[in-house]
Amino acid sequence: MSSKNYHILIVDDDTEFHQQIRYAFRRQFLFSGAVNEQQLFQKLEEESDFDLLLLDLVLDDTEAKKGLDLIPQVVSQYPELPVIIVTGDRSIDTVVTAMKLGAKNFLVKDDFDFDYWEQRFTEVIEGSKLKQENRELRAEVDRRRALENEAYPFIGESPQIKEIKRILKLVSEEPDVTVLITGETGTGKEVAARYLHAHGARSKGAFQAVNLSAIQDTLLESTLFGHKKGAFTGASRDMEGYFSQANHGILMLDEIGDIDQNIQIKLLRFLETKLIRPVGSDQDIHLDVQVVTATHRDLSAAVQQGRFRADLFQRLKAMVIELPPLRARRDDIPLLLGHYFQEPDLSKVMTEGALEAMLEYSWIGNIRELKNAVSYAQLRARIQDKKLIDERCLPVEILNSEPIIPVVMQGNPAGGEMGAAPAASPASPKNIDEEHALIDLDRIEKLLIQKNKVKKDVAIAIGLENTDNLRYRIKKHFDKHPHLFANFPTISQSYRRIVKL
Amino acid sequence: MRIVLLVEGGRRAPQALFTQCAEWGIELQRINLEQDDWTNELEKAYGLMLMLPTWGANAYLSPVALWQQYLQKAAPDIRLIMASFQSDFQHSNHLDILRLTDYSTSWWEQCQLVGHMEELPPLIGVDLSEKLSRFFAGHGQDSIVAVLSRIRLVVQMASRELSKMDTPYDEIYRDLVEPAELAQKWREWRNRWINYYPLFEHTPIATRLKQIAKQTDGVEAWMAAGGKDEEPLRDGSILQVLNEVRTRLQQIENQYVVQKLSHTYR
Repeated sequence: MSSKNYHILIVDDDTEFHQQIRYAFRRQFLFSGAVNEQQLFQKLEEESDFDLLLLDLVLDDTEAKKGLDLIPQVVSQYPELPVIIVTGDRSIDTVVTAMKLGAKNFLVKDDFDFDYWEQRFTEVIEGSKLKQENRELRAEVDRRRALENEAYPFIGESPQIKEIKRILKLVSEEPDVTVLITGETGTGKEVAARYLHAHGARSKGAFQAVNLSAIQDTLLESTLFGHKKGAFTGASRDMEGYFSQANHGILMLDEIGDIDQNIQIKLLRFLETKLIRPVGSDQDIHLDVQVVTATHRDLSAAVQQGRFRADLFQRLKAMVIELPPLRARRDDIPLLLGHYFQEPDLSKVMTEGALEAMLEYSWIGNIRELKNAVSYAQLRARIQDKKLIDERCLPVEILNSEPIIPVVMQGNPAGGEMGAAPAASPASPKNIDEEHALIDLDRIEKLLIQKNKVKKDVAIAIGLENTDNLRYRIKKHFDKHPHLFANFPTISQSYRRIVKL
Repeated sequence: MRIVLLVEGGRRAPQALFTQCAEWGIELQRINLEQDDWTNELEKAYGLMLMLPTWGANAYLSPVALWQQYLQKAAPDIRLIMASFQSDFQHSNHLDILRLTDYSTSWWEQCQLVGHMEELPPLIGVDLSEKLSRFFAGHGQDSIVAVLSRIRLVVQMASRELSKMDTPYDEIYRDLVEPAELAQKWREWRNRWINYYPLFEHTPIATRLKQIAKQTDGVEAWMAAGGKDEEPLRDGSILQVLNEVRTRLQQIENQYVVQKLSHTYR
């Protein structure tokens, strides 16, 4: 930006000085002038685009330094306008007083030096603009954070949710305690974490949420802790990890039960020392981050099975918040529907039959599933040109709200219908992890059939962001439970590269 | 014989003073403050005697504070003797000229070295340290430096335009030099100089003021013509003189004005 664009207001009773300064800096700055206090405030009222005020201290024939009185007035009324004192008085007392009152610099007329003065004018203007921009950016960040938290409202008036909110508020007053949020998938663990962030001492800091299961194991360490340039192939520059980005804020680690032993050790080290070490670095970095973890897994069982470190588990469960599944707080379903339909009076958007079906549905995917169902129903209603959403607009699994149990596809799987009764379970699940995988795969299998194998639609129906996440989810199931896939031919066919039976 | 330098201060010291000093083993040596070699005499001097009050610009003046400040740095181990006809002035270094016979050789021994002298009680005559502050005061009508500063500002801006920006001098003269009315400002400077200069004839700054007076003579014609001549501005001679004058004035201010200057960028 050319300094010519900067507009400077000179306040000096010596009009000759105005002319001389205008002449000397005519190529660099635009000038306006005032010779006394009255004209100064008149100019400031009339024009708001001044970038700098050059203020003389003595503004009449007396020796009184009226300019000193004007500094605080200008600073309080026009805080964005920096003031430089330009005067003949060079006593140290005056300099100190002027600077204490808020002047940004002090120039003595007798010391006039074109280059030096131009530099000071520009520095003060740009320094002030930088501060102003910083303030605006900070305000914007705060505004966006508030909006972000508003975008994840913690909806619910059921006794369980009221109690959880109360606990979260209490916990939010402890900015260093590690919080573990458990609950089925889609129960709103991130929403609860954001609620904690919004109401706590760290609300001005960042909130970073990362789904650990969505990140490849090989990239997880550098994603979390950052890396130095050259730390590994493709590390072409230094990169901050989620921990650094969440400094002074909250880092939510979702699906904590899915991380491997190496990351568990590093996470434990951070929780104990507040230190991280980026990949490829020989320096530790101290960070001030509150860690909130979440999982739908039973970590106690994982500890017993030796898949999760007991010492880390002990650290994580300093404060455990368990979110109930939606089916355990059906009273909140109308509230959630009102929120997602953006219409509290549900009779204006759906029929009683549709509402009843939604109230009775088991919502195994919890709130995420409900949200997707609302989007789906709205779209179906538009397609069917219906003013109110009725049962026919609802996803088929809601209409057929039988308990979901694993299915074994027999015969031609592609010809099977959603909701067709499964023949039998392939075998009793060995453990809760396998049971979960079975339920999840069964659901994906059904949806693949229902959505004509359009993976994107399946991902959306499950509440995943994209097909990569769906593929990764299937891969994880396959890596751990390959034997289950014999029962899910549609999945196996759709993901041939992963499922190698 | 011990040598004591004598500043007569615009009046003739009585012969009796010389005679009495000789009896005490003191040789009084008059010094000419307008010549800059008098400072060499300080090295071998036992003391410096001021005839008070001094006389200049048709007024009695008191330069003691300025001398005290000067000697405390330049020659702290000599004695500053204040000789006057002021019998009621009580100070260990005061010599009452009307009662010379009351003093003995031992009196000189008990005189304080200037490096140990505390502030002085008021003496007859205008306090020149106060006048010197006014000389430098930034905005007041009395300030000689303020006028010079305004002249120098214009000359500095004009010189820069001419040498660095290649702006035609016609334009510079029309837009900057002529409106500044340099001839009038120079007269104002001269008038103020004439008012101040005689006041400091018997002070340690007299030598520097004499040098400044000589230097400003060199720009007199250019200033009197209102800065019409381009050449002295182009060759930098005018600005050089003004800068040197400013430097000398700053030296004086730094040395003698109690409230020191603040040079924000040096």
